[in-house]
Amino acid sequence: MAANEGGEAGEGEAEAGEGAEAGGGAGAGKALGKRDRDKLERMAEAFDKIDRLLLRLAQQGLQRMSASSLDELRALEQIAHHAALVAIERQIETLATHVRRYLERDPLFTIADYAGTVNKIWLLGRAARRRHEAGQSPDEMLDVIGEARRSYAEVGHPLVLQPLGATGWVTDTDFVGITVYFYVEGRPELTCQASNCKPCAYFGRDPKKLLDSPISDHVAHRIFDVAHGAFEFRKAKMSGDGRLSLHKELVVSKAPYLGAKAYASLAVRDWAALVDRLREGELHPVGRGDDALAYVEPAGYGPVVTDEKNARATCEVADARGATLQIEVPLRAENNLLLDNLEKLFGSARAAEVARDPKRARAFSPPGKKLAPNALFGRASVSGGRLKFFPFTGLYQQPLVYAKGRTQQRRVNEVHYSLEPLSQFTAAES
Amino acid sequence: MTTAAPTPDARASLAAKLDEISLEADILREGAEPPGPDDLAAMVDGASLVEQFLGEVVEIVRQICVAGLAFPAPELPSALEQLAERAAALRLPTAYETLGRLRHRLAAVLAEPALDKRPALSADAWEETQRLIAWMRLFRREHDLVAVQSRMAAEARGEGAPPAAAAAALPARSMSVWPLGIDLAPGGKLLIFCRDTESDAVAVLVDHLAEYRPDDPLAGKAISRLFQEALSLGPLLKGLIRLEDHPVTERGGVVFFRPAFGATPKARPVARSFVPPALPELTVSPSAPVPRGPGRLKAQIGWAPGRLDVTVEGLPVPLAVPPLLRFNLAKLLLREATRALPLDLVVVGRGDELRVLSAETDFDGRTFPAHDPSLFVLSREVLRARLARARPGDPLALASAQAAAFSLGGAGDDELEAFRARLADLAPRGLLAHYRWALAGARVGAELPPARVRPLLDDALALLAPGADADPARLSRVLGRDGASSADARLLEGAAYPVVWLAMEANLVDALRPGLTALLEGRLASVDAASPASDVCAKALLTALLGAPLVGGTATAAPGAAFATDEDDDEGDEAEAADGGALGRAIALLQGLIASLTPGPGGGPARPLPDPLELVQLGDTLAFLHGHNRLRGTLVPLALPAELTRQRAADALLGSPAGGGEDGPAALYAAADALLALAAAGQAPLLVS
Repeated sequence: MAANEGGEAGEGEAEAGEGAEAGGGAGAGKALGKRDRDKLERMAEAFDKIDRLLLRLAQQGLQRMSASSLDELRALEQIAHHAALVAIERQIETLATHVRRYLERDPLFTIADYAGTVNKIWLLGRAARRRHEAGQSPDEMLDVIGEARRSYAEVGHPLVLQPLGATGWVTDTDFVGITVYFYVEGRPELTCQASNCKPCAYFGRDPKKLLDSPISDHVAHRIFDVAHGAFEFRKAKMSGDGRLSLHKELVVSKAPYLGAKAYASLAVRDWAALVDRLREGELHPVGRGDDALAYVEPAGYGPVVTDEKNARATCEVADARGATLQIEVPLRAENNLLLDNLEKLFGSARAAEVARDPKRARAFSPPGKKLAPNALFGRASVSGGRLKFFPFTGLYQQPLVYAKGRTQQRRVNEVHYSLEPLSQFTAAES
Repeated sequence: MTTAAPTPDARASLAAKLDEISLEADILREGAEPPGPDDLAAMVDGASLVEQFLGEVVEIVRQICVAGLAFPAPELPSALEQLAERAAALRLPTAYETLGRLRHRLAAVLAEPALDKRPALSADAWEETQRLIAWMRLFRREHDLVAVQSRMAAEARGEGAPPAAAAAALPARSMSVWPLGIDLAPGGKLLIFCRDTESDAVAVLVDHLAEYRPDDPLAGKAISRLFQEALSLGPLLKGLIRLEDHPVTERGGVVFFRPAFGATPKARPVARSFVPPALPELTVSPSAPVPRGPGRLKAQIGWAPGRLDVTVEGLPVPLAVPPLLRFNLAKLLLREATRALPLDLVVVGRGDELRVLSAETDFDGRTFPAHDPSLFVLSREVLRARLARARPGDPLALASAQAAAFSLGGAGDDELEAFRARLADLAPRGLLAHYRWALAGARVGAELPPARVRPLLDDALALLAPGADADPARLSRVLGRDGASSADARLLEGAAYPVVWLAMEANLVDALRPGLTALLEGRLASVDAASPASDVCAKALLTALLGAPLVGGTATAAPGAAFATDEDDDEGDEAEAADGGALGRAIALLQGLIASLTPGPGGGPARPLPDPLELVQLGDTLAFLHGHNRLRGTLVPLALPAELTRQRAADALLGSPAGGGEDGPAALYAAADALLALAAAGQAPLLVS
């Protein structure tokens, strides 16, 4: 994959550099262009300025902060930007938001968020400074300093991709979209994704309406097709974080569906293994990897419990040993279809009823048993002492028949719950 | 999970482990061991203490953030000292050390009376604060994970009723099956009928194909949903198929395997000595319902002009004979040069008819004639030998059929030379005979001397000129029979194409330009795409020839070459057509004719397919206008109904000496025309190769 190829090249260069100049990094071992040299120079200056300002703010404390503190943070943001310290720049922006909220007595302000953001800047600054002192070039430091704009590199061979799941979303900045997650044949460790994003002003706020549109202006296949079958992508371009570019030269053709094989590396049957995976993913210093994509094979489900007070719906999902994880879906308009589908599958109960009779959350007969999935694909995380799961897609051992209108009929093994109403699916005849 | 009782040591061990994990907060913490079962058990009891400790650390951090490090609250050092002691009690050495260092730094700040010196001291305190926050963030995260695991451990011990059961899976079976044949619907739904090698049970593999060749599904690769790979059906049907724990349903004693999410069948080769499972012999009678099968059927196939019958013991059977099967059976009869043949079939009952899954012959072994168009191909050598043995009354008819056979290739130079010599000795009479004679010559590379056709062409052009009298003498020469009268002038319908073609072939276009121009502007003026194919071709040729001078001055140089340097560059032709030049107009006229012969996208009716000779003319004209050299045999395949074209060819050959049929001129001409039409449609290798 593009990102890894770049990474491997970087490692190779680092070795060469070390050979040429003992103790030096890759940047020290090879001639850098003037642009990179200037960038490194600005970085060295920026580290000191960032540390100085953060220290000054820490010394004066929140209670002595004023509007001028905000101005200073914004100026610091510019300094980080010019020094190509993109990750730090974004955290400073977040810090400025926290300070502004504090100054405005905004109830959304929390000390934990404020302290956590300062800590991330401190950690990133230390990590970047160490790399800088080791002589690494800006390109070699991207995992720490971040990139201003995602760059895509062409993958040198065709990619056979099978959708793992798809989910619809609406952003706070008024964009509606669908993200499809893909298994890459031959690369089980990699999950790549492609997104189609449109402004709400023109396309409304319902992601499922995008399902029948092409995945991009340059590729004729619909999002529905790509979300339900395997395809070969020629001349594919991918970013370092596994995002697929849907560019003009992309050639997309059908490929054999791989079924469960695609999910093998993400599959977990017991939730303890899922927690172990989350533990493996949470080793990064600045908070990446708090969640993980997972394919879970539940042994049972509880009803969907709607908690209006906390604006969320939950559903207990048990593994074969009886351990439970909690499906948790925020009560937001774009999640309505997802919740409707989950309620059709697993039944529903009010939080108050469950509080009165906890057994109700566990013992009941699901109404949509015929369409109950064999597995779920989604995102797992830990919070509030619970293992949480946000489901994207239900997987079925026996295909369902998807019917839309009188003409469109197709057998599929997956239902994307936030995009496809269960009413359009029926169990295939045996 | 085990249920070891928590002990104080275990609790301390867990806390120390978590502390260790969070030791270096700003580097990747690789190699940290996850908590074990004892730790999990300890966590259940010790969670509240650790939670409480973390809460107090958060409060200290809050105070530092709000008050600032330059002016810390005087009581902070003592509070930190107490917390450090708690950390020690909880066996959290990193927390203990960090809290202790922070306490010292803050105490140093507070002890400094000069306010301007405090910032330098507080820098150290800030570093320690950040270390504490980083430790706390990761410790809390790890703590959450352990809390989740301990909760799960408790749930796994059965401390809670299980929720409702998830979807039940279908029963699964493992078996090795022997494919008997397939049934493929136009949409790609594929049924592979099989027999279990152990139990002899009937198994049906239900699949959905994509990207397959509908006209030849056994060739090339198809994307299979059942096998979850791109596979070749042909080789698949020749071996065993192994299904392992594959979900299964049963109906009427038949086992159905459908595409499954987590199971895929695998193709397995078989040894030569493999003996396939035996199939029952089916008995069919008109009064009994159609047997379900699958089973064997000893059938008799028989051919009569325009009809192919399949019978069992002389009685008709309700056997579905789709076009490809009919073509294959006709080919089999043709290859065997017989009108009737016994054949072992494997059939299955579907609805009220039987469908052929496979057929077996001694020579070919097991074949799938309903889906494989490449079966029972007649060898070119055999075809030429059979024609050579024919003794017809009309030598030109035989020569035409032989020339068509030669045009399929494979003949040696001596053989061709001898044939050309025999051809030169023939003396055809009339325009049509000359055309057939020259056409046969063209197929084998014989030159057409202009002198042999010039008088005939003069006569024909004179008769075809606008307002011309039907001179009986001329008419007799052109029609090739004595005593023709003016009433026979109607027989000149369709004569335009042979005239134009012979003029081209004899390199007489310039010499006959006035007559040809008159023909184009007179008799052919009203011809359009809906007119007879022969006239459309004549008009297209004349439009191209008279509108653009011939390049190279030879009959074999095509006008298309003047426009397109690359023979395969169709875009050049399209551009020319768009320009509206003579060649473009000619091609557009032909394309209009071809379009009218092809069913519309909505399945609209097409006009009837012209007879084979006209198809030959159409293919020939199209090739000429595209710049192909006809003598090399590179005809442009026509997008015409392939099934009908090849069926006609098979029937025509069956009715000729090539198939053991009659050797009359009509049968031979029909065979010649059908073979050439098949070649023009790009289908000849399916019949003769």
